[in-house]
Amino acid sequence: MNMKTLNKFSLSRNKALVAYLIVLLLMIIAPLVIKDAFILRLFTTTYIFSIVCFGNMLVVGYTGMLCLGFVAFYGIGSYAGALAAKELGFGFLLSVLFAGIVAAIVGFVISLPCLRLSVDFVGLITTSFLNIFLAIARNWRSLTGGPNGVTGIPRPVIFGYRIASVTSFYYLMLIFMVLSFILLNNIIHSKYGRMLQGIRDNELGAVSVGVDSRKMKIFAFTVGSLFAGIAGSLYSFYISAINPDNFIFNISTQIMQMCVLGGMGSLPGAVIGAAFFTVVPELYRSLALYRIGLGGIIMVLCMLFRPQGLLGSRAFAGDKGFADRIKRARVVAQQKKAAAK
Amino acid sequence: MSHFLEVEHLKMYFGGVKAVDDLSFYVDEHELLGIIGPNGSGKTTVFNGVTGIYKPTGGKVIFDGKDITGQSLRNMVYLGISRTFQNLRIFKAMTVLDNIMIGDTKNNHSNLFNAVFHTPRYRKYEEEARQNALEILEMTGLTEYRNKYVGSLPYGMQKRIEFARAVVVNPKLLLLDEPAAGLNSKEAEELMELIIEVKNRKGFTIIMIDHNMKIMMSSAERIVAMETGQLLAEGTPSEIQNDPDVIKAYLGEG
Ligand SMILES: Nc1ncnc2c1ncn2[C@@H]1O[C@H](COP(=O)(O)OP(=O)(O)O)[C@@H](O)[C@H]1O
Ligand SMILES: [Mg+2]
Repeated sequence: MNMKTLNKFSLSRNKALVAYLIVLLLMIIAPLVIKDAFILRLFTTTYIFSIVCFGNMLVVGYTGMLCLGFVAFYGIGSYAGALAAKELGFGFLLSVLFAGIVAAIVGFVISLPCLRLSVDFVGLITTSFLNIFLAIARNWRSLTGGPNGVTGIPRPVIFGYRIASVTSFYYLMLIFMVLSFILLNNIIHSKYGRMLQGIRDNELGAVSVGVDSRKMKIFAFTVGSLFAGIAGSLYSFYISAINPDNFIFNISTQIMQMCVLGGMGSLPGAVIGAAFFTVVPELYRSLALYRIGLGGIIMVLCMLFRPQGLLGSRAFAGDKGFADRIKRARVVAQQKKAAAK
Repeated sequence: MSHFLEVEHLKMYFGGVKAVDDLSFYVDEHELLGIIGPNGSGKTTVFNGVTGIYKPTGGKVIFDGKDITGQSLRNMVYLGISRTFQNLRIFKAMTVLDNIMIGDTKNNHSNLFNAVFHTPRYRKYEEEARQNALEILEMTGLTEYRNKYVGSLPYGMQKRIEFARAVVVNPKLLLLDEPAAGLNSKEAEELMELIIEVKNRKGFTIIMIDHNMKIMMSSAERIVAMETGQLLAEGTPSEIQNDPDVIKAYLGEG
């Protein structure tokens, strides 16, 4: 009996692993096939955004805390990484690490007032925090460069190898994305991931079996911010100039939309959501202007037909979707018909 | 003196509402104690007071010789107490297996480093936890549903899952709040059989709240009857069944 159970279990895991490896392979050979620098840049941006989405997913999709101003941690990482490289002369990897740690510390502090609040107030606090961050970024000119931001961020140099070409940036971001994915995926499939999801689904239920919900919420916020910070600094190095407009509320909304479309509680979903909202508006240039509007329409469609997003778990949606209601109404009608006969 | 759990003069007031008012009762080891009483008579509030969801306004809770009054809900599993809830508190977007494995958190000692890098030590603990959970699933007849999302399963199954989650904690004392409520009579009967079987196998002590007199009469060894937050009667099922106060307050109703 138990053997059979185990076999079945490892089979489904292996299937996922095979799927991941195929996608990874495609990502690795993409630059060999696609010679269009424009498209490669879109993918590169996708990988960076995937990492922010992983962080957002951990906080919102896995722990159930509505962090609406998540782009703030991305912004903090961007500035921290850029300034570390430019002003402190840190190397690339050290700057990225520094950016992640700074963002994580800030995330840790912001998580504290969020612990005892309901979901909507967590949304309010994090939104206000984003506004505070933007105010500082715009006004503390001596540090942040004010509205002009930080320019002339040096090109990354790793072990003597200078990253400058489109292809080398592509692989650099791919490596960071894959590493982030593996680490977070490991966390999510461990007891820590179970505890986070337990808190999301039913906090009191989780506490009743010994989960320390305060500690785990702080953990999610801190680790989520860490990855946002890392992604932010990668972004700085990639575009070599940042300013406060890169981190406005719209971007936060977009990060959330990426996660919702991909599926709350799914890391691969984060990549798909990031890819969709990065690539589609750019491919159809006329759509780019309506990026947020497009996001809105997709959100409405999601809510109606697939509340759990593309890859989110079915159960996550409950039975609140419009399509579900229609299905249920049909079943009820059929039952009535059958009863009438 | 020195019963397994002693609740002494428990008072739970919410503003002007005296949900539980000076209630005392006890449970002995390996006993199955039933708590009955009309809706709103304070049964659930007794559980909430004992397990630290609310701090008692007054009175004491002594468990296994220790005063545990006002200890936090989270601490209960470490003391050896677990519970289920009247309104299911399960994890609907997680699989059945994961729901049960969460219950094992206190025995899973892998730390963050092991978890992040999936070290051999992590795999060892994880495998132990999985085997432990699978054993409980087998015991509770849930094995074939282990990879299903809990939210997609029928209510009766969800009740069973919450019970299994409380069992995997491996408590000394198990508190069940209306485990059979909302089930049809066949499901209820099966669940009761399961509860008794698990109790005997694991040597649990159980306190169970239920409305269903028939179930109570057949499974509880002793019964505490409550009314408006106070003790109405206490005794064996047949004593309770024949108690004039109980008949008037409870049985007479329906
Ligand atoms: N947190 C609370 N705040 C205010 N009143 C409460 C609270 N919890 C329970 N009560 C009140 O205590 C009484 C007993 O409730 P409860 O213990 O749920 O009854 P039972 O489980 O016996 O049906 C009810 O009148 C209820 O309204
Ligand atoms: Mg109740």
